[in-house]
Amino acid sequence: MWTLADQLISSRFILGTAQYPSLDILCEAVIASKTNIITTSLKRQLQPSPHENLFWNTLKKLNCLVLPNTAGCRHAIEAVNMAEMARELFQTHWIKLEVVGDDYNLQPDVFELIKAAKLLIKNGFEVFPYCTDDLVLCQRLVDCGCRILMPWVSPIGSGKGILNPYALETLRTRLPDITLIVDAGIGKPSHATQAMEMGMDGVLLNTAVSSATNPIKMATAFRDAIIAGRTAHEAGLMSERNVAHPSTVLLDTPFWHGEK
Amino acid sequence: MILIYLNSQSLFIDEFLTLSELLKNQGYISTHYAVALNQYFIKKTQYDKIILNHHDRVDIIRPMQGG
Repeated sequence: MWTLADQLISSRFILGTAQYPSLDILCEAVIASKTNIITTSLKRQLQPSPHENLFWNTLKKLNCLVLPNTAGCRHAIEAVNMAEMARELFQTHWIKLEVVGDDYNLQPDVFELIKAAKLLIKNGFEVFPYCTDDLVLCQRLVDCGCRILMPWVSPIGSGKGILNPYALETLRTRLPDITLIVDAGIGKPSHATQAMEMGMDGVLLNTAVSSATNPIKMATAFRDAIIAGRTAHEAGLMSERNVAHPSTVLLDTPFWHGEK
Repeated sequence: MILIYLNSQSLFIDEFLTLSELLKNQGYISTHYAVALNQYFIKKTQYDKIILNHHDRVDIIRPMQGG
């Protein structure tokens, strides 16, 4: 068990709910992942539909905590408004703050992000900012009251894995008391393991599961990979060496070539 | 009558209609939505107090899948 934003939870896996082949597969993937937290978003209703509450009513049955996002926002004021709507709709003060500054790689607009984070924290939100892995940005977010950071490892949906391990290691070392959850760019379970081995506190992903041939099986694979990485981190990884070192002690072995 | 936009669709409504009355008239009776007026969030507790104006834009916001 561990504590995230004052909630005691068991899983270090946060799963997104978008782009699944069906609502049933989404539900089965969530159950297989054993996650405690799922992400959601908001949309404008263009046409009334008899099924308009189906998604939310289905999600409620999963008994997960909900982390709504501000996807699609480009300015702080938009993100603040969307967060207020999410708070009323989902009855949570948690918000995954996304303020995108570039349409091509969906990179966060770090200036608007900080502006929005300040306003939201002042308004009582627990802000989970989707940010880059830049140390100074992360420090500024912490300065304005963020207890949790969600650095990308590569662009959203790219599946490229950890492009800059040095930056993530730096964040872990320099911000030891901040909860770090990697968000965006994870493509394979091995990427998630790598992040957890580095001491990240959790992994948030969506596309790697929802776009898998078998999302339910992939949710299981990520669940196990995240546990493996965390367990390895807690166990303490060996230090790398630049030269070989025999694992078998060679003293007293027959045919010892060193003897004259 | 005044012209407003509900979910981007033009709609003529009576003058001095409150947001609450509009939502009721348009069949929004469930609680699973939030409302933005001219792109700003409006708390549920304010619906009764807001009188709609010419060219106001009312958007109904619902939960959706997200990553």
